[in-house]
Amino acid sequence: MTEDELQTVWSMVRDLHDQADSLTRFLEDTPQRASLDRHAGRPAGG
Amino acid sequence: MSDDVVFASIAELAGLYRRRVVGPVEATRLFLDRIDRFDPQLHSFITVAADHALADARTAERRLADGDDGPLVGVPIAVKDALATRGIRTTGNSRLLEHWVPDHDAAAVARLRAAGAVLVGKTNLNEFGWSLPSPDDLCPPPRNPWSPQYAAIGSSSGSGAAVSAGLVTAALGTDGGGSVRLPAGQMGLVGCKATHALISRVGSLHAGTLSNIGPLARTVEDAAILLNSLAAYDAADPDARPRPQTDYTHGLGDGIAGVRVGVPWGYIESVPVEPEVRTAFDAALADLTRLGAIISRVELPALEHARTANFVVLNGEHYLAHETVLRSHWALHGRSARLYLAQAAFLSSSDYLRAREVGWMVRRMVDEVLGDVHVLAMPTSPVVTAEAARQPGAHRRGINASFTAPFNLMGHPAFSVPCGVSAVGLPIGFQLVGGWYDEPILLRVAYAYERLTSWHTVRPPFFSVKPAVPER
Repeated sequence: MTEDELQTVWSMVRDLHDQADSLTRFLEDTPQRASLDRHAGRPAGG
Repeated sequence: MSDDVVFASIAELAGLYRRRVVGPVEATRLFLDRIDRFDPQLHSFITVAADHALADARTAERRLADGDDGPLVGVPIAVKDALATRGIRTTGNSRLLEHWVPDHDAAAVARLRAAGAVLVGKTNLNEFGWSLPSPDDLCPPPRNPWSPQYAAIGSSSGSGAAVSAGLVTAALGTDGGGSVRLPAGQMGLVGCKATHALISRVGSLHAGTLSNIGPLARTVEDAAILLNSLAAYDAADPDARPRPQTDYTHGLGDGIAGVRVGVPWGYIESVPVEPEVRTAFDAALADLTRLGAIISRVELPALEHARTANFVVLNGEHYLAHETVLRSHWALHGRSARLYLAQAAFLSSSDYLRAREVGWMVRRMVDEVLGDVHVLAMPTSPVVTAEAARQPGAHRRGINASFTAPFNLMGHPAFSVPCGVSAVGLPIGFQLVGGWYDEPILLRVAYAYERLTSWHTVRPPFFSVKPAVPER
């Protein structure tokens, strides 16, 4: 991996982690809904 | 006569065959000639399978002569090069698979071939459908036939370009975040992502749980005809569920008086939608109202999180599918593909599982809303051009897939329908979304809209002698 590739992928990783973190916050803000769905059964592929 | 054949719908082409105006072999030669003439500019095909196509066409002629009136007999189609095709190389537009010739058809391809379709060739995509298109790809990125100075949006970009330019009558694509609907929208076609796993995904290079195979077609009726052939239970697809056989052409013309259409305005207005897209969408809603539909505002702010979660899941699943080969053959991947794949090496299992949980949660919210309305409506893409969609920051965050990606995560059927042409000459689409297995109501709404308007009759000006200005 070149230096340029490393910088690019690192920036992409940071973006991706920001997005994953936003999901954590969303779930934390709606704990009852999350809990409900955790026990409601998992739709195939949904 | 050439334009009447190459821009015919499936239903129109069947009529031409029945009246013996043209036969499948002659029609296939017309399409192959156009591919020779136009595709060096468009790059919609990776592999043109002329000999296979003419053999299929001769078989179709025999079937027609024997009285087979199946709607797909002799219909020239193309297949995204992410689906296995027996005897025809399947590359994923990657050097890693440059010479792979499968000994089997993907299930969806097999069904179209069994129905008599003529497989003309394999269409272009960005490498493995998971990257920004790059000069490093095995084949250069496709151009949009409506204005070739613009790129064709993907990842089923070649399928969209080939149908749009009259190089085939219909095509298959795959859609993990909008990759059928987005090219359909920007190339004036009907694009269908059916309910998750309604169409078998067996034989697709797209591993993982979100990508589905779907048709790109000229008309809503063509989409219904293709769904009739494609939608079938396949026990080899782990997510497939047995379903009663449905005739998707049935009831298309029943009208939409009283149909309730929900519009998630709050979410739409939170996305940077270009003014021309908004104007075309507003006009489409006005047309639906004219047809008797009842439009109402619904609240679905959580679609934003479904979009993000879809991107996280796609990242994790693509990395899982490619991890070993990425490590052993890093340099054989194009630069864009290897970086896109590598970014997910740093995702944790809890990141992935959290994203799945968001999907289950938002699906419940969407299903609650769909208990009050029959369908949802929204733009297909927030932007007009592929170039705007591919701005690095926006693309990485999936902004261009704001309206499409949520429904991959949650599995709802979602269809894109043409609803305008922008100032730069590229089409605009809007999307209809329904409950799981509610394809018939989506098709009915789309058909009624299509009958009222004439966007589906407009052709790319460079590739047709017919005028490009629609009459409403």
